[in-house]
Amino acid sequence: MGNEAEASIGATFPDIVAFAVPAFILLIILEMIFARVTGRARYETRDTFASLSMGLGNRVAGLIGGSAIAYACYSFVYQFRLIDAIPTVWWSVLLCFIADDFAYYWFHRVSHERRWFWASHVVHHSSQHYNLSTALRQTWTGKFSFTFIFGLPLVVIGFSPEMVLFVGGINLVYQFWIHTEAIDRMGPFEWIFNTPSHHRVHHATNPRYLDANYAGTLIIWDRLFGTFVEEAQEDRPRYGIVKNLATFNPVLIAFHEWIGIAKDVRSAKSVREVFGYIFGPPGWSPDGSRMTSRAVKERWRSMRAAQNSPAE
Amino acid sequence: MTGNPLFDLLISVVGILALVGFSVSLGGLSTIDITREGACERLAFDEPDFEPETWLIDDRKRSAFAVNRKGELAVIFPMGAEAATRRFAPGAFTCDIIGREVTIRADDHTWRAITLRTDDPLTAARWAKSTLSLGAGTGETRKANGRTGATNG
Repeated sequence: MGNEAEASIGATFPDIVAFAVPAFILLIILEMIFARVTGRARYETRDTFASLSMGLGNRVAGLIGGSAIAYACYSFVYQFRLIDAIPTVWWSVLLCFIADDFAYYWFHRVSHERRWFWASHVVHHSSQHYNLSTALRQTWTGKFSFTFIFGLPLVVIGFSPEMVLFVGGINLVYQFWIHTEAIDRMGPFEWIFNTPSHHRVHHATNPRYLDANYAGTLIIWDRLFGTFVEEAQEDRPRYGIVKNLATFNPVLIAFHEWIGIAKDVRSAKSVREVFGYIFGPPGWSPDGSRMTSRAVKERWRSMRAAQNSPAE
Repeated sequence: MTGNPLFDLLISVVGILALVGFSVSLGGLSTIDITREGACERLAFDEPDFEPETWLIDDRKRSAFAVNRKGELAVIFPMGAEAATRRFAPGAFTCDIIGREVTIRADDHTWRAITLRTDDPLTAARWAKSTLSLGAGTGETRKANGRTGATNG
C-alpha cells in the first residue's frame, strides 16, 4: 500500500487527446472515402472546415489559459480532499473513469438544460452533418464558463487533478468514434456502452430524440435516469440544432449563443428576466414566445395525438 | 505532440488544410437545390405548425419564401448540402423588392439577408402584394425598379 500511495504523488499522465490526433485524422480520411464509395455517411467541405477549425480553436483556448484555470481550480480543491493518497493503480484509474463518466452525464445534461452551459456546448451540435469531423467541433469557451466544475466532486473525493483530467481525456477519445453514420446497430454492446446509434439520437433534432442520450462512455446513466431513447428505423435522425445556424464562420459558431444571451439580457426588463435568459433552458423567454426543446417535444406529441385521433 | 505549442498548431493548420483539400477532391463542395418539394419537406420538419399559404421559389433554386395565414414568413435556404429555415413574425423582417429580386432582412446575428430571384418582376410584385395582404412584412417594404416607398401591411 505504501508503494501505491507513493505512486500517486507526482504521478504524471500522458496527454491522451494529443496522442490520438493522428488516429483521428486517419479515421476521418477513411470515413470520407467510405462516404464517397458507399453513400452511408456524408461530408460537406465547408462544414468539415468549420468543425476542424473549432477543434483547433478548442486546443488554442486550452493553451491560452482554459486548461490552466481548470487545473488550478482542481489543485486548490484537492487540498480539501476526503480520502488522502488514492494510489495511482489500474483499479483507481478505472474507478475514477467511472466516476468521471457519471459526472460527465450530469455535465452534459445540464449543458443541454441551462443556457449558460448550452452557450458553449451548442457549438458541438451546430453541424447539420454527423461524421467523425463533428466530434472535433468543440467549444472555445467551455473552460472559461466553468464547465469543469462538474469534475470537482471527483477531486473532493480524493482523485488527483491529473488523474481526473486524464480519464476525462480517455472519455473524449472514446466519444470520437461514435460520431458516425457508417456504423449501424451494435447488438448487446449497446446495452452498456454509448454507440454510434445512441449518439446519433443525441445529435438529432427530430422531436422524439430531443434531450436524450447524454452519456459519455456508459449508456447506463441514461437508462438509469430516464433519458434513454432508442434510434427508430422509421424516424431517421436529422442533425443540427432546432434553429440551425446560417454560417460556417468558426468565430460566429463559437460565440453566437453568447451574443444571443447578451442581446437578451440587454432587453430584459427585470432581474428575473436576466436570470431566466442566462440560466433558464435554451429557448426560454418571459412571454413564452420562443420554444424550449420541451415545448417542441410537447408540440410534436400533441400533433401526433391529433393525427392519430379519429376524425369527428 | 512536439512539445512546442506553436509548431503543434502549425502542424494542425496544415492537417486541416490537407483534410479540407481532400474533401474538395471528393466532391464535398456541393450546395443543395431549394425546390418546392424540398422546401415544403424542410419546412414541415423545422416548423411543423407552419401552414404555408403562398410560396415564392428562387429561379436559381437558392431559396424559398413561404407565408402563412398569420402573416408569418418562413425562409428556406441552403447551408451547404443541407437546407435550413428561419421563421419570422409579422414586422420582424424587412422586404426589399428591386426588379426581379426580393431581399429579406432581419435582426438576427446568426442569419444573413437572403435575396430571391423570380422569373419576372411581376411575380415578385404579386407575391409582395399577397404577402402584405396576409399581414406580413409590416416592416419597411421597398418596391419595384428603383422607386422606393414604404408600405406597412
